[in-house]
Amino acid sequence: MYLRNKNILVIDDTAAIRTFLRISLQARSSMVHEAKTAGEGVDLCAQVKPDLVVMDLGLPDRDGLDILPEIKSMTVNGKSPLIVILSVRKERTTKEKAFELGADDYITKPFLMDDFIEVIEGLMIKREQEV
Amino acid sequence: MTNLKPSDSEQPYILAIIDSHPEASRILRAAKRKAKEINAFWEIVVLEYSSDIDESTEESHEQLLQTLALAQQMEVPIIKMGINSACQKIISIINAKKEQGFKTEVIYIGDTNDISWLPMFFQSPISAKLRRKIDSNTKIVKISFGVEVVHGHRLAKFFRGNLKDIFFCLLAVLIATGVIETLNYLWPQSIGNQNSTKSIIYIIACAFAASRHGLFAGIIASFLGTFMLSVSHVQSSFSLTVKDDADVMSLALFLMAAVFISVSGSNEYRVRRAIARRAARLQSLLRVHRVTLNQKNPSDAIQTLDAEISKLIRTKIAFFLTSTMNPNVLEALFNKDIILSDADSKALQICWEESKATGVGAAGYQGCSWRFEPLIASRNEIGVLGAHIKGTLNFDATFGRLLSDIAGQAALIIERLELGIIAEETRMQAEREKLRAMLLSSVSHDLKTPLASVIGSLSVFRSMGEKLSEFNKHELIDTALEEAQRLDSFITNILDMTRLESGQVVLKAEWVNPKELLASVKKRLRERLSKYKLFIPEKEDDIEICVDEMMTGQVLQNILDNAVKYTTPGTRIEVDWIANNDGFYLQIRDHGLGIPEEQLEKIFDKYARINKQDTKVAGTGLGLAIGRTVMQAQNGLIYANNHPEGGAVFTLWLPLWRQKNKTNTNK
Repeated sequence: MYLRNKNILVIDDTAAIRTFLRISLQARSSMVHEAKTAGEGVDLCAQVKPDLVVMDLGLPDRDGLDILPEIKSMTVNGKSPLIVILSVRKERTTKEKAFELGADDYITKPFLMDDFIEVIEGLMIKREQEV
Repeated sequence: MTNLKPSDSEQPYILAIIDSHPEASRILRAAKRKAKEINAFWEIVVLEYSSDIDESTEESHEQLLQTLALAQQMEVPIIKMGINSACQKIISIINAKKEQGFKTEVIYIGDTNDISWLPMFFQSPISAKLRRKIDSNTKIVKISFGVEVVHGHRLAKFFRGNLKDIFFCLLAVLIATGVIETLNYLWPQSIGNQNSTKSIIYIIACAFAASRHGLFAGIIASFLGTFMLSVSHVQSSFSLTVKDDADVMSLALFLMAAVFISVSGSNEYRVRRAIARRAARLQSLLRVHRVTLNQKNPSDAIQTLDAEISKLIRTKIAFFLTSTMNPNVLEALFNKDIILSDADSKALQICWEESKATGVGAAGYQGCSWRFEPLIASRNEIGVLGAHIKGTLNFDATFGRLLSDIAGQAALIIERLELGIIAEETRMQAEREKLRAMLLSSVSHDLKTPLASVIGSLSVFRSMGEKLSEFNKHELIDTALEEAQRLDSFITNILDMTRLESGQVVLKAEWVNPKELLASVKKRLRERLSKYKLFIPEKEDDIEICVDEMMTGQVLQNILDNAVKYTTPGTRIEVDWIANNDGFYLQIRDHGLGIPEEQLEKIFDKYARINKQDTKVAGTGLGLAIGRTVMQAQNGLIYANNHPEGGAVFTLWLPLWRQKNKTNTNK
C-alpha cells in the first residue's frame, strides 16, 4: 500500500531485471519508468521526478556511482528521490561509496522480490514519517 | 697415514716446509721417515714465492708439481701459502694444531731455499724467524741442499730466463757509452773528463735497464757501467789502472748509486708486471662477465659460464647448484654425467656446508681429483664451482686464486639473474593475481546477472501469482526461461574455454555442409532469435568444410548470441558464405550500431572485457575468445569489421573446402 501511485524509475541494462521489477511494482499500483543506460536514467529522472530510483551500478555508458550525486540533487519540494542500488558488486568499499554518494539502500543481486519490496516500503514509510 | 684425531695425550705433529726447489723431495722423505718413527701426524706447507706464482718459468712450476705429486703419493695433506707473512701463517697452523691436541715435534725446512733477491736484502730466513717465535721444544731441522745444487738450479734458471735481460742491459750500457762518446766528439768541453756527467748517463742506463727488465738487468748494467766508467773515462787512456784514490771512491760511489737505483727501478718493474698480470686476469674475468651479461636466463648464463670458464682455465668444470626439488641437495648442472669419487663427493659436501675451498690443493683431501670453490653471492652461498684437476698436477696458487675469483664472479652473475627473475616472477604473479581477481569478478557478474533475473522473476511469480494477468505471468516465465538459457550458455562458454585452454578438448575434424551446420545452430537458438529476422540463403552449392562440427557450431552460436545482445529486436541478421581459391568465407552481419574501431581486435581477447568498468553484456568476451581459439585450432581465422552501411560483420575463414562427393579440394 505504501507503493501505490508512487513514481518509480528503474535504471538497469538487463531487460529481464527491468521486466520483473516492472511487473511486480505495477501490480502494487506504482508507476514504473524504465531506462537502459545512465544517460537515459538521468534524463528520465529530470523528466518524471520519481519518488524512488532503483538502479544498477554496471551500466553500459557510465558507472552508476557516477550519476548518483546528480540524481540525488534532483529535488522536488526540497526532497531528493530515494535511491536503492541493485548490483552484483558486494565489496564493502563499493557499498560505502554508494551510501556516501546518496544511496538510501543497497541490495546485492540476486535477491528475492519480497525482500526488495520490504526494503523499499521501509524507505517509503520512513520518508512519510519524516514529512 | 695417521688419523687426524686428537687424543687425550698430545699427539706428535710434524710440519715440512717446502718450495719449488728441485731438492724439496728430500724434505718430504725426511719428514715422512720421522713421522713413521715417532708415529706422528704430518703435513706439508708449500711456500709459493712470487717468482713461482707470477713469473713462473715452466721449470720451477714443473719442479713444484713433481714435489706435489710425490706428496700425493705419500698421502700427506698439503697446505699452500704465499711467501708474504708465511711465518705468521705457519705459527697459526702450529697453534691450531695445538688446540686440536697435537704437539709440533719437528719442523723440516730447506736451508737455502728462501733466498731470492729481495728477501736476501730485506728478510731473514723463515727458519730464523720461526726459531724466535715457536716453542723451544719444537725442533727445527734444516735440510741442507748444498751449494753446488743450489747454484746449479739457480744459475741454470738464471741464464735461461735472463738472456734477453742481459742483452738489453748490454745494449743500454752500449747506448750510454755511445751517447758519451758522441757528446765528447761534438762538444769536447762539455764532457771532457767530467766524471759526474758520464756517471749520470750510465745511471740513466742502469735505471732504464732495471725498470724495463728487472733487478737482475739493473745490477748487471751497474757493474758494466762501473767497468766502462773505469776503463774508458776515469782513465782517459783506456787502461784499467786507477790513477788515484779519488777515482776509486768515485767508482765505488757510482756502483752503489747504480745498484740502489737498479733496486728501486726493479721495484717499479715488479709492480708494473704485477699490475699487468692482474689486468690480464681481470680482462679474462670481464670477458666471462660480458659473455654472460646478455643472458637473461640463469640456466643459459650458467651454460655460457660453464663453457667460457672451461675455455679460460682449460679444464672441465661443473656448477653444483641446489636442486629445485630439494634445496638441501646439490646437483651438477649440464654435466650430469660427472661421476665423483667418494673423496670428491665428500669434499664437495664440505665445501657446500662450510663455505670453503676443498679438494685438490686443500689440506686433508687426499684422493680428490676435483677442486671445489664455494659460490658465494652477496647474500649467501648459492652453490659450488668444481674444477677437474687432471692428475692433480695442474694446481698452483695462481690457479686457486683464479678459480676463487671466477667462482665469486659466477656467483654474483647467477644471483643477479636469479634476483631479476624473482622480481619478474613476483611482478607476473601480481599481474596474474590481479587478472584472476578481475576474471573472477567478471565471471561472477556474468553468472549472477541472469541468475538474478531468474530468481527475481520466479519470486515475483510466487508472491504475486494470483494478482498477475496471464500476460504478465507468461512474461515472467519466459524471462526466467530465457535467462536460465543464457546462464547455461555462459556456463558452457566458461567450461569450453577452460577445457580448450587445458587441452582437454581435442577437435575432431570432419566434412560438414555449412548449410546444415547453420540450420542446427538456428534450431538451438530459435527462442533467442525469435524476435530477429535471421536470413540464411538457400544455396545448392553442396560445399563441405572440414571442421569440428560441435565446436564450430558453438562459435556460430556465440556470434549470433552477440548479434542478439547488441542489436534491437526486429532487426535483420544476415548469414552468407562463399568458397573460392582463397578458401571458405562465412559472414554474419547484424544491423546494430557496429563495433568501435579500436575494439575490433580486442573483442576476441578473453581479458579485454574485464578491464572495462561496465560489464554491460555479460559473456561476450568469452564467447568470441572461444571462437578465436577454436578457429585457430582448425587453421582458420575469425575477425570482425564494420559494414559500410552499418552493423557489425563477423567473418570465419577456413583454408579447406570441397564440393560434396568430389575428391579435389581447394588446397
